[in-house]
Amino acid sequence: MTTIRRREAIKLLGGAVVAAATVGVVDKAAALELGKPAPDFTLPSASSETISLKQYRGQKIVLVEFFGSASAPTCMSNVKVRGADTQKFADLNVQIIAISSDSPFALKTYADSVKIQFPLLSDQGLQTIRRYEVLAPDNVRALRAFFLIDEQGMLRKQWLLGLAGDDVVFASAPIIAAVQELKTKR
Amino acid sequence: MRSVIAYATLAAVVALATPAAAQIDHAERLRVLGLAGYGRNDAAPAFSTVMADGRRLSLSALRGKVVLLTFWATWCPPCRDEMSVFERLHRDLGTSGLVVVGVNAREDPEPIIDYARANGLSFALAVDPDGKVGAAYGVVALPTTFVIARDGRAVARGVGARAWGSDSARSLFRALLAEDD
Repeated sequence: MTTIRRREAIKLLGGAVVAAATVGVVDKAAALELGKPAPDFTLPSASSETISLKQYRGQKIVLVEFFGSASAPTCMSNVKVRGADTQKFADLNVQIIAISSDSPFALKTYADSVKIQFPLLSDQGLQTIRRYEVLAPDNVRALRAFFLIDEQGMLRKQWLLGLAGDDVVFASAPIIAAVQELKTKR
Repeated sequence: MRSVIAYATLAAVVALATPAAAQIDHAERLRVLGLAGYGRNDAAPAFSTVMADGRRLSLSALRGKVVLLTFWATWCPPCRDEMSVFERLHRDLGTSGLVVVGVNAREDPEPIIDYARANGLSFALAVDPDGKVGAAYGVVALPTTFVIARDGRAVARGVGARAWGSDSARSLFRALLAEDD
């Protein structure tokens, strides 16, 4: 199996993961109000389930990762980073959910390709993408963004990468640090 | 009278049992081939593009055929290994209704035509210069191959090389070719 445009993706990974982990520009002013209920959603998954944010309420912290397209190398690299760190998040009782405007059909193939263990959800209607205010200027896909939601369904932290550069792959370290901080505050 | 009842009962049992048995066989074929299956209502995404020789190609025009749709590139070693297998399937099962389509990932027509000539490929080779067909199918790795039934429903997908020339694969294609449109 050969990944399409593998050379480009490796180049992006090599330079951008470190940059994203150390540069503070990605933690921008909130588009959604922190401390308020995160917008709920119910969407079809790549594994033919229907998944809602509210089904995790009272049980898990949820990390919602929006990505532009399954076919974009940078987006794939971002999702793969979370895939590699899935156990680290699971150890902290964090459920990762990734959402894009790709069709469920496309996400099934994508899930096979990147071999990740968390749900990939399809928002072809863009309703959830709009509710989280991460619709890209082209009006067909999501900007790269991350939302950390506590067990009570409250939005606690968000990182909006959409305008931080097309080649930015966001490391998990800042998110994990935010989860640990959230747990410490209790 | 007793024999008539026995015959009718047997016929009813066979009629009831055959679809389930066929499904079990089907699932077993996919398992042996390492393919992921789809639900009965998962339609393969429609697409329309051109072939390397300039003729148009659309999935809707292939309705009624069993389609083996593979995403490939001339620079992809495992894809190259599979192309001769696809050519054999095209020659062996083409007249029975199997259509092999190779969708090339973002290369120009010239290297595709050169590759086809050098390797004696005669099945349909489509171009996908902007990656739209690949995106509709969620293809991010090559080769990725889909099996589509006569009625347009997606049957199976395989990310990576598979034993498409094996008895199990041919058995799968024959079973699908035996279905009504």
